[in-house]
Amino acid sequence: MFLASFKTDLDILTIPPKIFFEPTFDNYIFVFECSYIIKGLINSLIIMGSVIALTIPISMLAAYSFTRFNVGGGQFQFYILTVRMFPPIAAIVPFFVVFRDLGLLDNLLSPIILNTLFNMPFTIWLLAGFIREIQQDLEEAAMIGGATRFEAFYEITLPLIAPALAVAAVFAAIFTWNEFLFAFILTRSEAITVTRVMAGFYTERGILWGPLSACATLCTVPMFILVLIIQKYIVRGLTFGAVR
Amino acid sequence: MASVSLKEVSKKFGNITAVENLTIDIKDGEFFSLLGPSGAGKTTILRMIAGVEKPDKGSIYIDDVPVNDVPPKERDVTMVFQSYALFPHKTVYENMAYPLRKRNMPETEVKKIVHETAEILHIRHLLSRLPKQLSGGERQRVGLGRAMVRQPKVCLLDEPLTNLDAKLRVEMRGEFKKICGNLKTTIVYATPDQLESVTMAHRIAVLDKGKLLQCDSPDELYNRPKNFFVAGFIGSPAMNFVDCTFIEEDKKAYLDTAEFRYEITDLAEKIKSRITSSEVILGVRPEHIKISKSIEEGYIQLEVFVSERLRPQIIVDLKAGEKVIKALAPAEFDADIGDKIWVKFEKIFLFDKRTGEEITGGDVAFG
Repeated sequence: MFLASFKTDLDILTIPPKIFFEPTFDNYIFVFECSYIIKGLINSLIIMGSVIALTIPISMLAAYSFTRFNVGGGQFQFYILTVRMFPPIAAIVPFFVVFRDLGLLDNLLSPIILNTLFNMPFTIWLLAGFIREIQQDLEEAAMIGGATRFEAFYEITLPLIAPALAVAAVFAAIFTWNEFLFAFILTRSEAITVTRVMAGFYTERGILWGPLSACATLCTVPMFILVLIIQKYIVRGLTFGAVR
Repeated sequence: MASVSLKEVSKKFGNITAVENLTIDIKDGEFFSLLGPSGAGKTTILRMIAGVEKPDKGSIYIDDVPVNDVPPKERDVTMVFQSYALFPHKTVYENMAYPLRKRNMPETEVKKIVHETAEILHIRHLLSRLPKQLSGGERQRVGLGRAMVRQPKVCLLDEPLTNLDAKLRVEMRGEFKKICGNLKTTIVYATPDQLESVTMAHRIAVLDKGKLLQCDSPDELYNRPKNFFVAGFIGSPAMNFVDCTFIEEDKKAYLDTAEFRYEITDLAEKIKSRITSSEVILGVRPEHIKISKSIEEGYIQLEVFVSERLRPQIIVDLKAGEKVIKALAPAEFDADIGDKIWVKFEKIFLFDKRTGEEITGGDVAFG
């Protein structure tokens, strides 16, 4: 994909594949001039950022409630898990109708809401597993030492589940960034995402491989950077461990 | 310092009864021990006093104030957990400073108190380390330090010595006693080890399966156990138990076992009024068995099964039918397997086989 983005159309489609070729920037120029790539990138970044900002805090508190207080006695937790099992495509028509009536079509809010909703079961499940690993003794020691329940959570449990939060954020980010279905159905031009932009390279004239590769490469860069940043926190957090 | 009371407290976890209708009164400034095997309910009781567990029934009082609905941070108690529960992401200093900082103490004060406490516990050199860099004994002292930095009304300790190796445990027991003696708080100490309780506490509550069996000073528990469980639990080596039948014959009363017959005419009336059947259990402590190599008046003959030379003591195992009775003998005693020797019981206890209740009241001593 990366290599292909620098090849001419002719070079791309040659069989056997050409390893040595004269690179060209035409594909990239084409992408920037003829598609909404900048808008798409900005929108996707906004959506991804919002989804992470919403999913992580809500999932974290939900996971804590489930593990420590057993809210809903297992039933509620199962219910949330089943949301994950639900095929999104089966729900897309009702969602479309709802958002249309709310006037939220082609608005960034719709993909944000839907992505948050569909990411939460997974992040809750992931975080719940981590929180269960943290001994309750630690929180109780903090409470006996003078902390409220929330302070115990904030000062003791939260730092210890930081790597889990980072992992959950990465998963949510990747799922949201790659998400095509909701973006395709619910956005048009204002709230266009990178996935839709890429889809735009499937034209009536055929698939524009060169520009498509260039676009795909450009769209992967932000994810790369994100993972590089977060990876440092994941590694640092994991080396703390729980003391037995 | 404060008094702590539990009145008719019960707690269940699902189908398991952790604590049943428990009433205990702990005096102000007392070193009180909760003694019992696993599952007795000791940890549950401590947690209820601390406030991290609520009783299903009954009330808990600290200084005569009901605290059932008071959150832990307002109860002015500290707790040392069995697992120490040190915050893994904070240094030893920060662990110990935590309760003080939560009280909004100025940092200079905090530093002073933490350093002083660390000095007492010999962990001053460890203040900048993380818990994972400490040994078991060091972690235990940090846990204790965190509980000591404040002067709480009540200090709760949940089996603090259990996770240490045997040698360290013996060392720490002495140090603990000294440190706890200097603390001016009411101490509630849970342990399955009767030796710890007996050496450190003013009074002990013996628990089994959530029920209180006896609550008394160590001496009383040793001299006057009220039931079978307490008698067998306190004292090392443990009390010997022999099943017997109480019979009366020719105006005399005997305790009849397969191996021997023990005359007990003087107590006949007292025993008869207390037992529910003629099946009783004779209890005698190893240290209350007098041994002689030659026949003497009033002694019974038993055969030596094995002798354990502990040095300086010797535990002689004597065969009594199917059972083995252990006796403590002086260092000079010498006997081989199969030798017949003569024993006399200097003090006995009798337990009703059905109820487990002690009948004699701990007053039966033969000169």
